[in-house]
Amino acid sequence: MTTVDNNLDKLAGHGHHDEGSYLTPKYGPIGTVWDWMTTVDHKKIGVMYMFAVLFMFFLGGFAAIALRIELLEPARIIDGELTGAALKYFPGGGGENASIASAGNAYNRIMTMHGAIMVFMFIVPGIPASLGNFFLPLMLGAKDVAFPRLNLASWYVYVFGSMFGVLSIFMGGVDTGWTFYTPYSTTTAGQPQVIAMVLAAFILGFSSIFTGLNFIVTTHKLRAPGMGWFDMPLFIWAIYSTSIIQVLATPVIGITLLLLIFERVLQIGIFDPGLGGDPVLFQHFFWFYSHPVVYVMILPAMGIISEVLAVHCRKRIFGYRAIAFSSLAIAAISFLVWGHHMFTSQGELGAMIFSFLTFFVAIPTAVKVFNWIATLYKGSITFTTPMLYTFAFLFLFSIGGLTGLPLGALSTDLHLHDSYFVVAHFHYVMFGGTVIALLAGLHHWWPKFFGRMYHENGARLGCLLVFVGFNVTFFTQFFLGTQGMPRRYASYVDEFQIYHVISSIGSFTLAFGFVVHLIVFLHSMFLGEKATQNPWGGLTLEWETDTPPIEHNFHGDPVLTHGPYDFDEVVPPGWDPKDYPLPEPAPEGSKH
Amino acid sequence: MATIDTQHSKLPGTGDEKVSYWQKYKHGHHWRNADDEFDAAKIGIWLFLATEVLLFSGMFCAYALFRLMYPESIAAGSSYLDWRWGGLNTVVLLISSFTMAMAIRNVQLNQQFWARINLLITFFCAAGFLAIKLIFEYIPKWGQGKRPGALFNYPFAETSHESVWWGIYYVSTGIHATHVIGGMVLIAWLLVRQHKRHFGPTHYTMMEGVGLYWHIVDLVWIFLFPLLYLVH
Amino acid sequence: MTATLAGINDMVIRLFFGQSADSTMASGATGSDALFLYIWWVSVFFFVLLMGIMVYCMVVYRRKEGDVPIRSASHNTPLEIAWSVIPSLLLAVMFFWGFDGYLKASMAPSYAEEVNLTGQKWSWTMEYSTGIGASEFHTVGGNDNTPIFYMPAETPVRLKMHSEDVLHAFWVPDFRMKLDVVPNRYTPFVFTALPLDRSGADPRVEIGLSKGGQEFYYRDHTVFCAEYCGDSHSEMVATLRVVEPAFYKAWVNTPPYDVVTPPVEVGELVWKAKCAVCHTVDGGISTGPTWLNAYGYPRDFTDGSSMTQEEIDDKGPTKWDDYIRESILLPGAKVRAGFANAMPSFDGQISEVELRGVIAYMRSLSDRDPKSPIEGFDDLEAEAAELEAAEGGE
Ligand code: HEA
Ligand code: HEA
Ligand code: HEC
Ligand code: CUA
Ligand SMILES: [Cu+2]
Repeated sequence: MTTVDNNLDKLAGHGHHDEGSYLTPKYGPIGTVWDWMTTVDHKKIGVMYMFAVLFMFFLGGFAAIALRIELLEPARIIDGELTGAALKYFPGGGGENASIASAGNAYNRIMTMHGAIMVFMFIVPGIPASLGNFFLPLMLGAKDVAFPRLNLASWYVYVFGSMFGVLSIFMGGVDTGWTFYTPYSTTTAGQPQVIAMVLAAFILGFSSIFTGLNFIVTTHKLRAPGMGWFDMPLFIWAIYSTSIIQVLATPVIGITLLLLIFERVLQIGIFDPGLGGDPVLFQHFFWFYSHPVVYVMILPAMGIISEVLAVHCRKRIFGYRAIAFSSLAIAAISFLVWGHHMFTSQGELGAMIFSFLTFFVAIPTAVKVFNWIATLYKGSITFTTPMLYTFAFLFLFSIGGLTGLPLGALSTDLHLHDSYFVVAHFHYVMFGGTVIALLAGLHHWWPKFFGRMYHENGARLGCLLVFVGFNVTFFTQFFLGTQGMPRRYASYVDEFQIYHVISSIGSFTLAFGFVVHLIVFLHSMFLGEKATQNPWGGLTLEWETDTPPIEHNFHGDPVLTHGPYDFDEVVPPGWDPKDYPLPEPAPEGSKH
Repeated sequence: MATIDTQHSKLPGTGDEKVSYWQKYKHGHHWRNADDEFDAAKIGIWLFLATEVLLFSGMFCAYALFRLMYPESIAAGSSYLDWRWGGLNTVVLLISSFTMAMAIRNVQLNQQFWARINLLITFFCAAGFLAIKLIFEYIPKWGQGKRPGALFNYPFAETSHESVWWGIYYVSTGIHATHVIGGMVLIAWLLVRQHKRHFGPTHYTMMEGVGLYWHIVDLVWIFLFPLLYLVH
Repeated sequence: MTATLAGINDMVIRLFFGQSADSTMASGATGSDALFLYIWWVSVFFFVLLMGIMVYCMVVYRRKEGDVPIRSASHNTPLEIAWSVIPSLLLAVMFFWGFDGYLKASMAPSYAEEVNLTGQKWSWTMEYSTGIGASEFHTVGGNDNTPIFYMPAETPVRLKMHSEDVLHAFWVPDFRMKLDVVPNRYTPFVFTALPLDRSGADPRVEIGLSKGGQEFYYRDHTVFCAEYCGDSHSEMVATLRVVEPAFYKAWVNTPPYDVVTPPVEVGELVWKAKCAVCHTVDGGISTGPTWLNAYGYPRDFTDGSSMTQEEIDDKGPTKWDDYIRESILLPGAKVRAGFANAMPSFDGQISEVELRGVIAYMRSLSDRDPKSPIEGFDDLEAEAAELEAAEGGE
């Protein structure tokens, strides 16, 4: 029967048992490329996703730097004539027609491109599809995700969708803002690109649903023997909650974007007030997805923080259940607060309800922060790059989250809505939260990925530059916002210049920090020191296999024998007990 | 052993019984046992169906809002639809849902012949649904100028927002029809695999999955039918 | 103690809003700033507390040689409850305070002064009960031709806002208030501007308006469009000039232009108020074609048709006058080659007097003004007019 079995293995997408690292090429150069392109191995898919999303991040980052350069001066400096002339050469840019009409438009196009790329192509798939794909099965002790082929499909759908997004840029760019508000998005003349970009977001939604669905099922059915729900690492809890949001919220943006396309092509009049439609309906639809999606961005980041924090201060995480349940609570409540983006466009009743619920969602988040800080207490804290980024996360995300409060309160939001205060708020949570946590996770798991260590001091320097640059860039924007600077402004009144200049200088520092990180990563890939199986002393299952993992993840079937954070009870795999003194066993009956 | 023909081969040691794929199939490589795999597929399908329901519920929300805003236009638009065609199509889909369920039952009992018949009926019901929709509804209405949005060109419109009504009508039934087409592709695929004896009492995951999908497509129509055809 | 607290509060407000707490500018503003302060202090408290503990741990519990992992509690229920319930209570206060302020900010007594406000790509138009609009313009930041709208102090005002095209939002930062401006629907922006301080203590109150031989005080507030609306979203700026009620009464009853205002001046006012965002008069490039030397020249359109020199010569001025009229009321009918069909229709928003004014103004900007003394477009004449226009355009 074994042969038959093997035959069916192929059907399920697996090759022969091969104990080499998943990175070891088994075929010639072309064969290897083909192997990667058709792989159903979650690790390879994770790595491919990682490169793709980082590429998108850099693309979006370049756009951001362009914005910051434009904003150095109150008047427009990206010259209209110049960009107008350039746009002519792109198909769909309107040819002759676009030349002058879209003159003032370059800033708006870059701004939209920045937002859309960062949200749809970078941060939403970001952590779940890269780190999640790689580590979720490993941490569960599984050989793969539940539906490996669906996983590969999700990657291809992602690439296909992103291609539409990039295409829309080459067609001359979209200038609607990432929110695509109607009727602007449905009535601006001569813009087939809008359809391309909306289609991109629509297609990317499928990729997101596939990933989410896969992870939910994997978590339910592929946990290692002995792993109950409360033995799962918190990263899994976070990804699991994220996946629920992805599966339940994404279809709604799907239908919304579909309707938007029909509206544009056929003027069916659902969203366009000129035809009897309701633009506020679009906003409701849009935010019904896009609010929950901000927790798709932050929950996996919080999961990373829980892992990194525990390992690098070698301490049992405080309030495991509170953190796990708060992830679920955030996922649930996130569906009820979307209206807080529309306080200035909806009626009193809605405003009241949504403001009230918004404050609810802050509580489980606060609970997480308190528990993390409590975990530090009496820990054994190292200052590795992942840990430094964790401190940065706690600092920046707290600011980001706390500045969500005046946005959630009605009378203050009337002032702050659509101002730079909002811009600063969401960069503090998205960059200061998600990107910083992604960086923490990347460094933490880097050895597992590629089997090599990174240059610690180089990475620390990058971390410092990113932290300082980020604060200089975005803290100033809070003042801009309260003093009256609206967002999406290509030019502004002179009083604001000083803040904008400081902000731009910060952003250049930030970009420089990323250059440093890039060098560190490249250096590590080729020249880095070989990593051991468990360089940090982690207790989750991914540290129990080789570095980098073998093709089938584990030698034999892993069985869970200890909790993910039992640092005071178990010697981490790959460590010599001599180097890891354990405390005296607790007296009987005093077990926590 | 490596020479086993997956379709028709003799089970070692027993007369001339055929060993089919479904009998040999154990489970995918990364699964610990077949039950887990089956459960996982089930959960996966249900989650997918949840996304489908949410997709359509967005459409229903838009519909509800328009009903509130322009009740007369919705009523007028609806009065142009003939409930008899809609009703007929409802019956067609209900039959197909029934035969789909039967086909799964057949497979579970290893009644391969009947499974094929039932799948075929399901397939043709789906085709019939689309044909009725196209020939008796879409084409004549389009010809009369009852078109969505900017294409609306019906000279005898009585109320102000009939173009919007047709927009909602075409988009919602169109998305539904796309799902029917998708279902037909899936059923055709099942037919091929069923022909190759891929399904049987111990392995019918795909049948079950497609079946559930087909019921949802049916269910959506059960909602669309009264909302579009029967409001006055 | 209370004095220092008040002093610190004032500093915070200055830091964030650029002006001190007691010189906020409209009824809603004070409430909103007070709530902002409350949120600020709650945030500062928790932030400092948490970061303090964090830094303390970083220093005290950094890893040392031979550290033994500490056996510690996995959780502490009373603590968990405390740090859920206490923030909840603080947040509940935030919600009620905010909601209360919001209700106050959106209510206006029925006797409020009502002014119609239209948002349009990319300008604001006020229409007062007496039918007049803006007649004065100044430069704000880089924006020339920013209209000045007069508003009475101490009087409840309701702006009845609506949009002609896409969404806009009316934001007066000094009033801490904004509201969306939506097509096909009215939204009410209500405020009561606080009295003008005549003592000279408030640097933003200036004197310099006179009416009937009397001097009056005023205070300017910048208005921004806060909802993205396309190319020149950032140029959709205006100024609210809050004036003393007596001045306002007199001003609102003086028509900006009447039968004796020369049409060219009317045209220039219309241009500043509605067209300047897209049309320059000095040959500069913008969304729409410049008006310098536009009038009287032949045109090619995107649909391939054209308006030829012969036609213009044959029909004389009517040809171009009609074309302008059509361009304003039905801009999509003929779209000039090289431009997108981006101009909104001004049908119903521009009076006959104003239309004629625009025509007169465009004529005055062109070297092919048909009113020049000698018929036809003699080369010499054209050159002379060009010179003149160039000088006038500076
Ligand atoms: C990662 C993404 C992310 C996250 C996590 C959040 C988190 C929150 N956001 Fe944010 N938000 C965005 C991304 C995000 N947001 C984006 C992208 C936009 C703009 C979209 C656009 O218009 O383009 C936006 C806009 C936005 C608005 C609309 C503003 C406007 O346009 O007028 C509002 C209003 O309520 C809001 C509120 C909140 C709140 C209350 C939280 C809460 O979840 C925060 C909870 C966290 C804390 C409270 C801090 C940590 C806790 C402590 C330090 C302990 C002490 C705490 C207390 C005592 C409470 N956000
Ligand atoms: C994940 C989300 C994300 C991230 C990470 C960022 C990152 C950055 N954003 Fe982003 N931003 C958004 C999401 C994000 N943004 C969204 C959703 C909007 C709203 C859009 C809208 O209104 O529709 C927005 C809007 C927005 C604005 C407001 C525009 C406006 O309203 O007019 C500004 C202005 O300063 C800005 C700046 C920046 C900067 C300087 C960074 C930096 O942090 C970027 C740093 C990264 C890099 C620079 C790339 C990596 C570096 C290298 C590869 C090195 C080499 C590069 C150079 C030397 C250039 N962003
Ligand atoms: C939103 C931008 C915008 C505004 C505001 C605007 N226009 Fe235009 N205008 C355009 C564009 C773009 C064109 C060229 C395309 C066309 O012909 O429709 C144009 C063309 C014209 C033309 C034809 C010019 C030529 O050289 O052929 C006239 C006349 C005109 N506009 C008058 C006005 C008047 C009067 C106003 C104000 C009451 C105004 N426009 C406001 C964008 C605008
Ligand atoms: Cu009008 Cu922005
Ligand atoms: Cu939100």
